[in-house]
Amino acid sequence: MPISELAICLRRSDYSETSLVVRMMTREHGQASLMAKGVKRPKSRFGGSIDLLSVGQAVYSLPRENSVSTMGLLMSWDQTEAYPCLRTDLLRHAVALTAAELLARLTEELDPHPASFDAMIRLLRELQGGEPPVRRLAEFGRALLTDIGLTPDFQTCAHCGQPTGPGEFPAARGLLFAGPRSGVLCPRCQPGPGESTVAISRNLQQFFIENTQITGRLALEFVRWLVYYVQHQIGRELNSAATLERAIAAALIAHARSAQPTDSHDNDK
Amino acid sequence: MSGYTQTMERLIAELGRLPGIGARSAERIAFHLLKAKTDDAMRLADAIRDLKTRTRHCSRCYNLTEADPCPICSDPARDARTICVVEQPKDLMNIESTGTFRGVYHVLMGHLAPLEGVEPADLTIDPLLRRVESEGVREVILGTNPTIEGDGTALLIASLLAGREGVQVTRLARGLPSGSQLEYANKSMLADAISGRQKMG
Repeated sequence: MPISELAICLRRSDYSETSLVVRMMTREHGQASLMAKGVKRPKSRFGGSIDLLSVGQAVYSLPRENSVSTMGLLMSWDQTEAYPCLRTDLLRHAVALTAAELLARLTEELDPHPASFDAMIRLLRELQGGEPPVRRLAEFGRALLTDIGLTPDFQTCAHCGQPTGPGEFPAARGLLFAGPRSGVLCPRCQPGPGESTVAISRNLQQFFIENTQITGRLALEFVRWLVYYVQHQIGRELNSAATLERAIAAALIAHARSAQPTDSHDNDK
Repeated sequence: MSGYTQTMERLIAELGRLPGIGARSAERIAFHLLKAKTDDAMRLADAIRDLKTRTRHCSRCYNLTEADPCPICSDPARDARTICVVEQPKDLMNIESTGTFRGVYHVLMGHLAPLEGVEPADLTIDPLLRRVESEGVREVILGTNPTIEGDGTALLIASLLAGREGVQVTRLARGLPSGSQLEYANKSMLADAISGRQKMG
């Protein structure tokens, strides 16, 4: 039975001269690997090729339960939204790719996460709408972690179990976040020998505990922490991490060159 | 066991590794070669051998060539101060076939694909930057594919060239193909066409 729903293209790879295999994130069925037959033909019924990060109405069928194939069939694709900013702004481009990789790595095939899907669509629309990209990526990251149940405990020390809230220690004393333990270490506890940690500010802790709006410099700290945390969760590097850092560096250089800081990126610095 | 000789099986297996050729096609081609005149089959074998021994990449632009530098780079009639950057040699061939571009090229040998792990170091971006620096280039035309990854590659190159005195960075126009109809254009094409609209009259 064909399914028709909104989908985001998270990955595409050549299958043959004319066909693609696409990894779609769908709202109601999660990720699905689909064969798009003949999509690269000039007069294909898909109306042009399916690009990465494009959003549209997909009509597809999933493999039968007893089928040996794990790939479904994309029957039609009608792109419903376009985000030209991803093609003209390096930072927005990198932010969208990072979000797509986070979504792809942290959710499973045919495991629906409508809230995460909606957060991704919201992020793409906000990027197109001129919102500060790093801040929007941070909001997306928090929504994604919350939806899939991966939000770490920021209130209790991962080593001694004592509370680590702002009332427990002077706010000036920062905390260490230990990736292998998926939690914070209080100022009394030290990481184990060679244990990977990253320093986090009290503001970042507050961002999680009080669900506050993220602002300015904190967004950048959050995004770097998010990449660190997710890499520990999935046990491998995020491919998009280097691209994101390069884009942030380029935006900072462009900002420094610019005499009039009117760019929307400024809000992220 | 297929029942074919070892030589035949080896040829079918090798042909089957080519893009767009499945097991049945590989078998059909192998039988065709078996039936063909020896000279015809050997010409094909020689062509493959020559391709692999004589064809290489131009040390300046990375186009495919048998002479280094390639005929385009060594043509004095071409404007060496205008470089068109493309992803693959076949993109270069396509632009060249229009006969309208008289500058030179730079082939990136791919595009950035961060989600697949293809990074700037995997492309010929550094040699491009060195060319721009050393050859007095005035214009770099970014002719990467209009995909998210092609555009990302163009954006990165543009950011690396930003601030270089006297170097203009441009990008190929995009939007509706000539002879097409609005009715059949997808959202991306229309968005490109609207944002890239041009003044008339």
